[in-house]
Order: sequence, then C-alpha cells, then structure tokens
Amino acid sequence: MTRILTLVLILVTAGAFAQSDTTIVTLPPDSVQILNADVPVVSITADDLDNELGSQNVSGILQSSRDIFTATAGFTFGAARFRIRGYDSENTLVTMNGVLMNDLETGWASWSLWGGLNDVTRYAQVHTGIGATRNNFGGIGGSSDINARASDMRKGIRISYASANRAYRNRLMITGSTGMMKNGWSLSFSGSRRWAEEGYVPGTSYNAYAYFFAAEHKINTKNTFSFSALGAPIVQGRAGIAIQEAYDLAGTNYYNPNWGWQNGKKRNARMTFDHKPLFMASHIYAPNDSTKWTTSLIYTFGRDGSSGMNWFDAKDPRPDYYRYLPSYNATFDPELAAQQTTDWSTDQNVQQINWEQLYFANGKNLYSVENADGVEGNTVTGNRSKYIIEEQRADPSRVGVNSVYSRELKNDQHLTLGGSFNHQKTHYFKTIDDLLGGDFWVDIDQFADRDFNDTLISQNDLARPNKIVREGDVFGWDYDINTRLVNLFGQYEKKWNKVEVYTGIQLAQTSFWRVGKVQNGRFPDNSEGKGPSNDFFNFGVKAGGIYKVTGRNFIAVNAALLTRPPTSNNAFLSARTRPETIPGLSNETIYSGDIGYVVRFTKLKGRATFYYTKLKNQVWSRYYYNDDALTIVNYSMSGVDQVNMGVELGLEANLSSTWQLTAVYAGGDHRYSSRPKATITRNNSAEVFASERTVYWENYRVGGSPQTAASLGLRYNSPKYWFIGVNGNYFGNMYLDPNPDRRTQEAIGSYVESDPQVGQLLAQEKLKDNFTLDAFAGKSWLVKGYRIAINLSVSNILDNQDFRIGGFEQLRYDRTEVNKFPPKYNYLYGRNYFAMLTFSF
Amino acid sequence: MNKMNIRMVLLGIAAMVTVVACKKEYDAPPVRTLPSGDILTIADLKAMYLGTSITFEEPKSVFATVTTDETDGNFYKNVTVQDATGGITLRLINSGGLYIGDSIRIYLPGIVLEPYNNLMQLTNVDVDNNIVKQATQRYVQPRVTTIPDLTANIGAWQSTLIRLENVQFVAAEAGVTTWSTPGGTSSVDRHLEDCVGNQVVIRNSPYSNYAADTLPVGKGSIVASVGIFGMNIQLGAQSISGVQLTGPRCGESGCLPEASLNESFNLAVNNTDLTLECWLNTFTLGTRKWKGGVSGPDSYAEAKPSSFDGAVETWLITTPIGYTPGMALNFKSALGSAWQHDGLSVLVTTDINLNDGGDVSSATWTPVTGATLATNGTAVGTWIPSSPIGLNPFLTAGDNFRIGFKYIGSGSAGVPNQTTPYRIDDVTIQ
Repeated sequence: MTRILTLVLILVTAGAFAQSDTTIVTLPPDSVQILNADVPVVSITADDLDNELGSQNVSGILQSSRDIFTATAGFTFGAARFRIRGYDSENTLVTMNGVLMNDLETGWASWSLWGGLNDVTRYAQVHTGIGATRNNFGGIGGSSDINARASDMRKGIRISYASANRAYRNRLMITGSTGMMKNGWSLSFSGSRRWAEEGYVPGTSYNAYAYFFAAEHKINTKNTFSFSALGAPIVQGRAGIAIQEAYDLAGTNYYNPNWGWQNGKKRNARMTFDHKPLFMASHIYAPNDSTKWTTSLIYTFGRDGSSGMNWFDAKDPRPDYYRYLPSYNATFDPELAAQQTTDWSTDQNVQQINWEQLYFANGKNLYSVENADGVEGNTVTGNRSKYIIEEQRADPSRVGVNSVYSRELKNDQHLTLGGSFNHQKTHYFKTIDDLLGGDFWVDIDQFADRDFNDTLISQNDLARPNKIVREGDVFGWDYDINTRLVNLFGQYEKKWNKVEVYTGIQLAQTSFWRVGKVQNGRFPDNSEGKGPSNDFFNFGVKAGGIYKVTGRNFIAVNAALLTRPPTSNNAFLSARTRPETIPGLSNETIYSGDIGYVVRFTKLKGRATFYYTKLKNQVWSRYYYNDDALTIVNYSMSGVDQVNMGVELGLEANLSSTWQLTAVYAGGDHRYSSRPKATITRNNSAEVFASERTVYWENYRVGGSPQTAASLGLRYNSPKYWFIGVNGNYFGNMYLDPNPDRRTQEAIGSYVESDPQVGQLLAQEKLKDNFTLDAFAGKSWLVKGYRIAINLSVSNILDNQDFRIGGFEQLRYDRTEVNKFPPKYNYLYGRNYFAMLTFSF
Repeated sequence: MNKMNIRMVLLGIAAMVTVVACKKEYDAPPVRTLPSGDILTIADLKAMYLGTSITFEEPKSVFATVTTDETDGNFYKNVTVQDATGGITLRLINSGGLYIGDSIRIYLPGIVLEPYNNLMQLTNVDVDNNIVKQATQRYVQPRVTTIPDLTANIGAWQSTLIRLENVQFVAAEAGVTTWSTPGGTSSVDRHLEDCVGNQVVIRNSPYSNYAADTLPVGKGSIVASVGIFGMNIQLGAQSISGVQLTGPRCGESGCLPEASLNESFNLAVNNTDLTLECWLNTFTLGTRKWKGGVSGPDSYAEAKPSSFDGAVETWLITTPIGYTPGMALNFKSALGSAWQHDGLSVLVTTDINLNDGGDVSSATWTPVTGATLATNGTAVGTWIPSSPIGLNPFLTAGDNFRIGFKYIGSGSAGVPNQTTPYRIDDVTIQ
C-alpha cells in the first residue's frame, strides 16, 4: 500500500513537468533547503538538452518539486530559450558527485556529456541564484549538483520507451540499480539509445547512445568508495538557421540549409560527432554523523567534432548564400531574380546542397601541386577537391580533483571548506572527413593566398609547405588550449529561531595558455610552441539570510561580489593562428543580489523576488567576413558591462483536492550598460584595422532570451491515478543581440539623422510577442508488483509556426544597404509531442 | 531480487560495451559525364559570330589552354585561353578553378559567344559545369613582339599571350605610382613605352595582390594577354613574375651598382680591347681603348698611346659600386716599358650613367689621391701595390660610384714624349 501511495505521489508530481519523463525525488528537508526557501531545491533532467537548439550547452532544463517558478521557467519557458534572470550557462555551476563539470574554457555546463542518462542525472539538486551551497562557492545563477552515486540510485529495474517528434523520434532506456546490498556494495547501470532518421527539422538525423556504470562500496561505517563511468556517443545532423527570405521561398520556417540529396538520401553537411567518456572515483569519509569529507577524482577525454563544408577557389556551395537569393538580384537583374525565385521554390537541388554537383566538380578539377609537401621538384597531379567536408575538432581531456570537508558544529552552525584543482587541455584541429570525389586538398589558407603576394604566408604548416592532405589527415590548424583552475572556498552557516544566515568566500587562480603544434606562414614567429600564460587571481564573497516573519512567511536576501577571469574561448584574438589575446583582457567583476518574499500556506504557495546583477568588464570576441576589409576579421571588445534586473513571481494554488492552478511571471530588464572598446584585427596577419573603437551599446537590450514570460496553468489530479493539465504561456520583450560595429561612429559615418541608414543601423530588432499552449496527461497502473506508466505531453498545441524565439544580427553588414545581410531567425517547433511508456519493478 | 538485479546490471554493462557510435562513409554518387560533341577551334568560334550573340545548346567543345588566371587577383571571373588558332576570353559565373597551364575542354552548352567592345568572349561559363581539365602545366609560350607589331595585329592577337621586350613604364609613372589603387573599385591604366616612344596601355586591377606596389623603374620584358577595349589595346599582366623590368631605362647604362668589386682581368685577351661586363672602356681623346695584356700566367689591363694617334685620353671605368663607409680601393700598377711620363691617374664619380666618352667628359670626376703608382724608377714589369685607399673622403654612404683609371699619353710625336704604357691589375673595392 505504501508503495502504491509512493507511486501515486511520484506520478502526480511528475505531472507538473509537462514535457518530462522524470519522476521527482523528494529530498529530505535539511537546513540548506530551509535556508534557501527563496532559492528552490529542484531536480533536474536533461531530456531534450542535446537537442535542436544548436548550442549543446544549455544550462539546464529545470524541474522543481518546490518552486513553481523555477520549474516553469526551466521547462515550459525553456522551449522559447528563456534563461532565468537572463544568465548564460557559465553563471550556473554544475557538479557531479561534487566535482565541477563546467567546461573550463567556455564556462558552460556541457549537459550533452550525459545526454540520454535521464534516469541517472535526475538525482540532482538545483539551487537557483546565490545561496548556501556545500559543493562549491556557486555561481550567481546557482548550482546543480548531480548525484551519480550507485547507492543513491533507486533500487530496481526501469525500462522505458519514448516516442517524440523533436530532436529524436525514439528513445529506449534501461536502468538498473541494486541499492545498497548486504555486502556493502551498490551497483548501477543505465543505457539508452535515442534515434531519428529525421527529427522535427528536415535533414536532422539523430543517433545517440548513452551508458553509465557506477559501483560503490561501503567499506565500513566511516569509509565509502565509489566509482562511476559514463559517456554519450552521439552522431547528429544539425539544423541551420537562415534569413526570412529563405524560409519564405522554401515555404517553411524550419528550412534547413545544411542538407541535400545524395543517392536518394538526405545528407547533412553539418554533423556532430561527440563522445567524451567520463570517469570518476570518490572517497567519502564520515567519521561521525556531523562530519563528512568527500574527495573525488575525475578524468574525461574524447572527441568533440563538428563537420562542415569548406571550399577553395570555387563558388560558395551553401544554397542560401546571399547571392543565390532573389533579393540580391532583384534590382539589377529582375529576370535572374525571377528565375532564382522559381528555382529556389521548386528545385530541391537549388534549395538544398547539391551533393552530386560537388562530386561532379571535384572529379574533374585536375591540378598540379608544385613542390608538394615541401619537397622541391615534387609535383603531385590529381583532382584537387574544390569542395570538402571537414571536421573541426575540439577534443578535450581533463583531470580534476575536488575535496570538500563539511561539518555540523554546535548551536546550529555549519562549516564547509573545500578546494579543487582542474586542468583541461583541449586539442583543436581539423581533419578531412570527405574529399567528395576529389583526390586531395592542399593545406593553405585561402584568404591569405588571395591577400598576399607570397606563397609562404598562406601556408598552414611551414614544415611542409604545399602539404597534400587526404581523408583523415590533420590540416588547417593544430593547437592545444590549456586551462588550469585552482580554487578554495569556505562557507559558514548559522541558524537562530527567526533568522538563518550564511556567508562564503572563494579564492581562485586561473591560468590559460596556447600551445601551437604547427608553424604557420602568417605568424611564423609565435604560431608554434607554448604561448605566454594568462594568469588571473580571483575572489568572491557572498552572504545571505532569511527572516521568518511567521512560520509561513519568509523574507530572503542574498548578495555576492566576485571577480572572474575572461574565459579562454573569448580571450584569444585568433587562437587558430597565434597566442595573442585581445587588448584590455582583465577580470570581470560581478555584483549580484536579490530579495524575495515567500509564502507557504497549505492552499497557496508563492514567491516574489527582485534581482539585480551587474556584470562588469566582460570581453566579447567573434570573427566574421568584413565587407570593408574584404577579409575575415576578429572583432573583440573589452569593457562590456551589463545589468540584469527584474522580478520573478510564482504562485501555486490548490483550488480543491484535485484542481490546481499555477501562475508564473518573469519580468526582466537586461541591458548593456557601457560603451565597450572594440579592436578589429585581420585574422591572417597582425594588421589592426581599428583599435579603441567606441561601441555605443549602452541601454541596448541583451538578446537571446525573452525578458518577459508568463504562464498560467490548470491541472486536474484524479484519485484514480491519472492527471491532465494545460498551460498557456506568453513571451515578450525578445530582442536580437546588437551587432556592435553597427553602433559605432564609423558605421554612421557622414550620414545625417534624416538618412534612413541611421535608423536602420541603430535600431534594435524586437521579436514579436507570442503565445503558446501546452498540455500533458498521464496514467499509471500497478500490476502484480510491476509498475506501468504512460505519460504524454503536447507542446505548442496551436501549432504556432511563426514564433521567432531567437536569431542574430549578422555581423557582416553593408552600412549603405543595411538590409543586404538581414538577421537570421530561429523558430519554435510547431506542435510537438513526447509520449512515454515506462515499465519498472 | 538482489541476485537478479546484479545479473541485470552485469548484462546491461555488457550490452553497453558493445555500443559504438560509428561514422559511416558516404557512398559517392554516380557522376555525370560531359560528351565532347563536335570539336571547334577558337578561330571557328570567332567565325561563328555574325553580329548577334550565340547561346550554345548542342554538345560542342573547344580544346584550349589557360593563359591567364585569377590567382593574383589581377583578373576576376575572367581568364584567357588560346589554341593554335588564337585566343578568347572566358567570363566566369563564379570565381576560381582555372589556372595558367590548364589544358581544358570547354563544353559549350549554356555558354554565350559575344564580343564586349570588340573583345570576343565566351560568357556565362560555369567552371564546375562547363570545363573538363585534360592536363595541367601545359604552359603556352608567349609570342615575343614589339609595340608596333602588337598594334598592327590587335584583332588577330586578341586574348593571346605576348611578351613585349625592351619596354618600360613611362617616366611619369615608373617608380612614381603604384600598379593600381588598392581600396579602389575599378582598374586603372598604366602606360608602357619602348625606347622610341611607342606606347601601349596596361590595365591593372585594384584587387591584385601587387596593386599597392610601386611600378618598376627599369626596362625589360613583360608577359601579358592582349585585351581590347573599343579600338584600343589593354594589356593585362599575366603575373608579377612575368614582369621583368629590371634593366636600365632607355638611354641609361645597363648596370646596377654592385656591393663590391674584385677584378683580376682573367678574361683579358692579349692586345685586344678589353670588354668587361658593366665596365666602360672608352676614350675622351684619340681613339684608343684599354687593351688586354697576357704575360705567362699573368693577365692585366694596359693603356698606351699609338705611335700615330697623337694625344690620347683613355678611360677604364669600373662597374658601378654602392658605397658603404669603410670601403677601400686596391689595385696594382706597372710600367709596360721604360718610364717616360706619369700617365695614370685614378678618379671617382657618382655620375654612374656612363655609356660613352661623351658621358665621361660631362661627368664630374674627383681625383682619388693617395695611391702609390708605378713611376720614375720602377723597373719595367714590376707590380707596385697601390696600398689601400680609403674612399670616405670622396663619398658618403648611399652613393653609387664608379672608379675611373685615366690614362693620358701623346705618342712619340708629342712633346714631351709621353709614351709609357701603364698596366693595372687586381682591382678590388671592398
């Protein structure tokens, strides 16, 4: 009977999270949770994380058993790319068994590392915002702590099959755990496969496996050892992003320029090939009930590859290249434009990649490479590929050790001390995946080849000029980025009857440096060998407290001040060619605070929070084709400040024992708050096109996330083990992130205010507000000790296919004709579903 | 339950181990071929044009060899090809893919034959779809010609490769302006001339990777394709390496300054006028030059008056040298017969453009003092080292200069009798 009740509880709770397949672990209350009445403790799932959104590093789709705001924001809003408080992923620290999982170079939490292991990773505690955290200092966005210890996995076997029409269409998952056995051992495994011939977006295939194994041995009452290994190999065809003209011509906002027909099959040029196994060993020493000392070691390595087209001395093979679209010719050659319109709308060989044509062109491009491979007089003749599929690799390897000592002191005090060391080396290089019918590729930089009258400058490898490369060979660039992080933190907590407080401090040292493995012709002096080390010392302090107005009313306040280093992926001018970093590289400073009011009545739970965060002196770095310089440039800014403030409201009302109403509102105001200085450098020489260029960015809205979001939900929980619910969601204040160079005096040039270009250059595009409707339902049975459950969720029931959830202003722009390179947009999936059958015992 | 779970767990692990995500090779699709059809020559093509443009539809082909390409940016979407019957310009839909020396078959369907300002072109050429490469590195030798010949054959030679020799950029441009205007958007005209003043236009793109380089000063040869605009020739340089304008300009000495000099007159032929590359052997009085002298293993230069010539002033002038501080002159001198007079003097000039006696006369010469010379009392045939003569009193850094060995004599008829032959050898300047 208890089991049935538990099951019901689990299923009912699960219903709250419409698109999830996850049961919720109700964590035992402890002082941390009470202390963080403001900041929810939630469980997390990575269900659709390695999904269609392009970035495989979404900070988290959060689910909460306690905080309706975080649950709704994380999941229901997540589909529209809502980010809590507008924070990027690096502001939330993710740990597994206490060890930091955020990538050291990007700061992002790589959820794709354990994609498909939902049964394992759901055992996570999420703290949103600043708070008392006992694994690390935490980020301003909070932390997610995944517990992957075998002894904490729910005992039994669980098999599930899910059908969906999102990134993948099928998922099979099996998980089994022994729980703690009499001999002190616990074992656990999980494996899954997710696959789709084609996901929601055309041309996106999906083939992912995942595996997890954990063993734990409680040696005696004081010592426990645990070991975990996991990995998630994935091969995925990616969706592209296009300008509206392409969507209109193709007749769908899910047009994907990345694929084309080959031998009657859809072939995607932009594939992901990832597999990064992770190994972890932990030792837990608990000499008594009040002391716990956890030390963990991790090692991870593997491949992170993404393929794409490259071409040399040939036409751009991308079907949506701007010159192939009718608008480019509309004025000067309307006849051609009309022809292009027809071809684009009707011929898939025009609308998509024409693979056969690429093979055809490669197969007859006879070419003689003189002095090939640096050997005088060595002439290699064959079909030089004009078009290839290359794979850009960023293969990480990382070791980390983490040790945290935690002790309950007298008089409701608690002390946590910890330290960690992490070293990550990422090997960046390119290989040739497919010569597409040609015989070889020559390893020179095509832009340098055109720009300089010197055959050595264009060489990517001076040790082997005119290097002939074939499938599998390394070419282009080859270097390591090393990042080392040493960190110490401490936290003190104290409770009284009416008040609970905590304070914490962090000290950290970060170093990163580049090690070039080839000497290239553009930067012969410093492209090879170890570059200078960039060293940063950082600190952080935080404090917060709760005042219990009554037993059911709380006021919570949190504040933090910290500095952090620029991430190494932003710090280099062009790490592919040289070790130079952007001018003005220095620490970021962050001030953040929030104040909230929380109510906890039986029939009404709610929270209202105001937050304010200032991110000072950030760096920003991109590269793109610049129309003035007629070459690839690196555009770097330092001194980028941003202020994120807003309110969060969440209400959960039990109208009766079966009906529940939820209301959630997020109102943010996230803006840039400084005028950064930009440096523009040529990618393939030391030439500086502009330095100290002022970017008038102040008060532009930060793009990438709706700044306003609201949801109203109604749910019915039947005593007969089924539930159904519906959510209506509203999104507003969505902006495209501004292209910095368009907001400079140089862009405005000699225009006067009445010139149309001024408005076009300066205006920030606001995306249309939108509304979606989601519904979910579930039912479960208990048959002879076996649990069977069915869950179904349908998102965007109204099939709104015109909902732009993101995009970007192209960095390439023409100041005289701003619309020549219009923004590219992403659209929310139309009506989509996720249905799952679970069988467990 | 525990046992069963363990078994399940182990089974699960075993299953996981077999899981591999592998990259699958894509099958190459069957690729179409382009039939040859009828074969036309470039002359056939030109003959087909009767005043209206022709769009080819039938499968016909032309074999030709690429003579100019886009590699250095001087041409964009534009190459020239030629066969034995002539040349034609190809206008490409997309840049890239054709290189000098490519022997190609042009598959004509889709291509349009039409002139542009009298230059016959094949337009709408899609390299990926219209070109089949037969071979590479079949370099066409340019036709060596002159500006007048070129002008006379403008029509027949259009889009073919030529080499003009003995031409230079006009004085207003040579060494003054750049090949083109980098950052500009249209090509610019520059002007080549020969030594008698015939001119021809060479047109250069601002996108070439040498557009910002200054035009060469010298005279020499240049390889270009013959373009036409209306009634005028517009040459297009094939590549910067085909521009060999390094010689002296029309009317100038043909030698560029050397960094040092070491001359032992080993090539001297006995009693024959000396000819040394870049040296000047001439006279400003009389008609005699310095002659070679060979005596056993020893060879040297010798000057003397003719018995019948009367007074002579004979100059042996070194190749131009670039002065660097600390440079010293060394040589040795000897008498060819018993001493009668001091006939040898050493001078220096920075007027290095010396081509004949007239130039020598009008040049400014400074005596180089301090040399020890064979003189009264020196035994005949005995070499007297000059001892090092520092040149810094006469020159400043960066000067280009020549040293002149001046011999004067008057022949036996002269008074006083100035007939002593003087010899010099082992001239070094370093």
